[in-house]
Amino acid sequence: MTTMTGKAIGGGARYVDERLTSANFIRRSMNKVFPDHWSFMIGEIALYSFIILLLTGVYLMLFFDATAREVIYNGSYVPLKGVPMSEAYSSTLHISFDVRGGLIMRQIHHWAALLFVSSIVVHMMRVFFTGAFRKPREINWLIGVGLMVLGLLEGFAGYSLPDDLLSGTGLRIAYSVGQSVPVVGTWSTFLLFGGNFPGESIIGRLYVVHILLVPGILLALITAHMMILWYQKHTQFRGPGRTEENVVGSRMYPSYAAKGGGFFFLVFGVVAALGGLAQINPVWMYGPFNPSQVSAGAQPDWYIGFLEGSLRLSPGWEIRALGHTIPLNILIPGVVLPGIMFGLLALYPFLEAAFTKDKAQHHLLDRPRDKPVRTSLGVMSLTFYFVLWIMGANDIAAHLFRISLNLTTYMGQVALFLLPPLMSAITYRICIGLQRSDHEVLVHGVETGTVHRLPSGEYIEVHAPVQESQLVLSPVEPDHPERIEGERGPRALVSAAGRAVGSFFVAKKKDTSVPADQRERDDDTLTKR
Amino acid sequence: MSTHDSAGGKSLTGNTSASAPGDTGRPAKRTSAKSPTGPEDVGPRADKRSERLVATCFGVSSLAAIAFLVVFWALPKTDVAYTPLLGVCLAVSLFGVGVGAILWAKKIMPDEEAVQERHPMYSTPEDAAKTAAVFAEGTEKTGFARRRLLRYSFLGAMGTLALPIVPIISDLGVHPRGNARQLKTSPWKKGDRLTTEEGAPVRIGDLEYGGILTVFPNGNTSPSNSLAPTVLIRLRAGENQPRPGRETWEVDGHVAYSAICTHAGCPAKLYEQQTHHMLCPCHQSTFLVTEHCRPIFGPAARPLPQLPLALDNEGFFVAGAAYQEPLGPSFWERS
Repeated sequence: MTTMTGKAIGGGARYVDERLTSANFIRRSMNKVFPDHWSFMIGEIALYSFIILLLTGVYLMLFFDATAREVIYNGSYVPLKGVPMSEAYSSTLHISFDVRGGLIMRQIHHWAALLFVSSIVVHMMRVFFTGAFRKPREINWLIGVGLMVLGLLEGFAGYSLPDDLLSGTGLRIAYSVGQSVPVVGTWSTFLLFGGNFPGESIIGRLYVVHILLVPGILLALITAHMMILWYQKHTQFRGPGRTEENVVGSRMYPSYAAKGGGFFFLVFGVVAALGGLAQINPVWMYGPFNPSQVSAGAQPDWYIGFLEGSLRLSPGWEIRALGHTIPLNILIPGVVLPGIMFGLLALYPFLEAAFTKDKAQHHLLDRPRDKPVRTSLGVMSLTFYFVLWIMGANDIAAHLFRISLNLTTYMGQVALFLLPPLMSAITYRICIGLQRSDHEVLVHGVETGTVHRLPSGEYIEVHAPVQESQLVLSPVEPDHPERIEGERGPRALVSAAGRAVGSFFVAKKKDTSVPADQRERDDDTLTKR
Repeated sequence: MSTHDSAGGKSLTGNTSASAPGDTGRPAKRTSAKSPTGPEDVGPRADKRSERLVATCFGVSSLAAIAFLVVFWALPKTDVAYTPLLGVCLAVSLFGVGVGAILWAKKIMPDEEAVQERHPMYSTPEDAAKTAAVFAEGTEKTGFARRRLLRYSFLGAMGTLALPIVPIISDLGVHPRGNARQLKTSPWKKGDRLTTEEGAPVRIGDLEYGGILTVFPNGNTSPSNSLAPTVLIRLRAGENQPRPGRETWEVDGHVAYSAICTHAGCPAKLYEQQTHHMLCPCHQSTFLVTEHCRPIFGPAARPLPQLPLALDNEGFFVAGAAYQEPLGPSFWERS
């Protein structure tokens, strides 16, 4: 750094510091340690896609006109010339065909939305299977569940805005789902839509929901999510020198800032390439919404697919009694089931803590194999979700595999109840097997690849004993720290052969253990090489 | 960097040249790019090479950004390659910055493994007790617990402040009392002509055997009349097995049913002549047309409502009566 720039930065820093007293805060922030593990980047993808969504969304707002008023299309897209349609659909066509770069902006926005929800879901899977949701991070788990549900809502509101045939059909189904709720259903859908479907108001209202209400809440929740994460510090996997009391990794500045900042551009680059090269939601091919028309084989965006599937799998049940109707064939798959699924997801940290009577704080992550019950519960839930999701496209599957459509539904109904427990049992067994294999290494040492021939002609492979520095003791009950020293049974596991958990592609080899007597509890206390 | 940091810094007990059994290790270039004694890809020459590589990434990014401008203005926006080329240029320019920054961090910046101690995630009992005491003292000063009149009138005022929300919310839509009536009212009246999407009335002979046609009441195809779409189907004589009391609802093998699925309200119009199945593409409810459109598969619980048919004095199809039951998906007030 030259003296000139040094002076300039110093001057600017002094200016800010004399107003905000920021030097200590900024130094601590720059020294903040981030664990180096690939799985911690998934949440960042979600954050970065949200930024991309804000950037492209503001641009689209400048051209989109969210009104249901009927106009006659007179733009560049010849097949729809002269067709009556809503202003919303017409302005979407205008963005796609008559605004320079409008189509790529629309497509980047849509791809980023898919990536946003996808990365949230994968990030939650990471947090779930490694136990990162445990005390003290339950609040951030709840915020995360809220972010996911709002992300689904935001996505649905967004792709309903163009008022094309596909999105209008989705809205029609959403209206029916709302209407199915006993007592208040009819009232609330009439209030929301301004009357019977489709009404005049819904596009304008969804627009407000999509560009102001939900993004505002998302922004606030993401800020809270990040601040809590910053304050609580990251979790980390077990490894040499990593304890419940420290974080090992690289510092925010410069290493992590460069890597994380660069990663933003990579994510943006992927989405830009998709937006340019991969067509998504070609609304001009669907035509304007018309309640008397529907296209076969139409699919919603992927994150709505599980609801579509649960509606398709539902038996034709309906209660008619005492002058009222309760359509169980919509109420259960469309309202009750997602309510239970999201409810259990939100409550899981508290349920697990209650059942395991675990009141301790956890900063070291579990390997999924070490918590077979949690892992198999997670796989069970994911299988349930996955069956619903596949069944949202059972017509495509029937067409693809040339089997009867009705057969796919029956298969789905059976699979929904059969596959989750089956997958759960298989997962449990795999976890136990992996634990035993770890135990094997612990007892018999590491394979060296060196084969010796004894004078008697017998061949033996030389096993090297596991060194103490390579032991990564796994789930030690926090209430019983003495087990760290004592137990070497199946519950005390190793990550041997230098394969300390920490990096996906490259094995870690460093022994960074800090003598316990030198530990200090201070944000400023950093050890580095 | 503050003096505290360097004073508090502790060198780790690890050895960089550890050679544990089976240890493939991280690439040596990552251990310390500044180490003069490292393997061949560190040292001044490698350092220069890394610097050139990173600079190339940034250079490619700049070129791609300029190419974006060229495509944006030079190519007609109707060109089939317009959007793909914009995407490629933008992606390359973004990738250039991203890859460059990450290579910069990995190849130029010295690799470090820093350890930071956590702060305890709880307050000391003394702190918690002090906070509780401050709160208790403040509450005591308000007299909230002692002064019942103040307490109840305050809570009452907060409660009544919620009341104005009710009319504000309820005016978002039409008056709730009208809901059920609106949903229960048939969009077809007795004598309404069955007209095609183009508005033409329909007469016997317009449909072949096994034919199906979407019809609207008196040319009203407005999307706001979303429950009105109806299908007219021509069956062969004797194929229809009407419900008792509905023998007169067909005219010369023609039958008419609401097109709106009784499950979630999509148009259930995929008709298979051979089997007389009518399928809703949304959730695959299947209705058997020859047996009063009763559901035979899928989530729908009720048959599609039937529209009684008649002919007017000019020979065109008309509704013999209004629909006898509410159309579309079920709702609480339906029956």
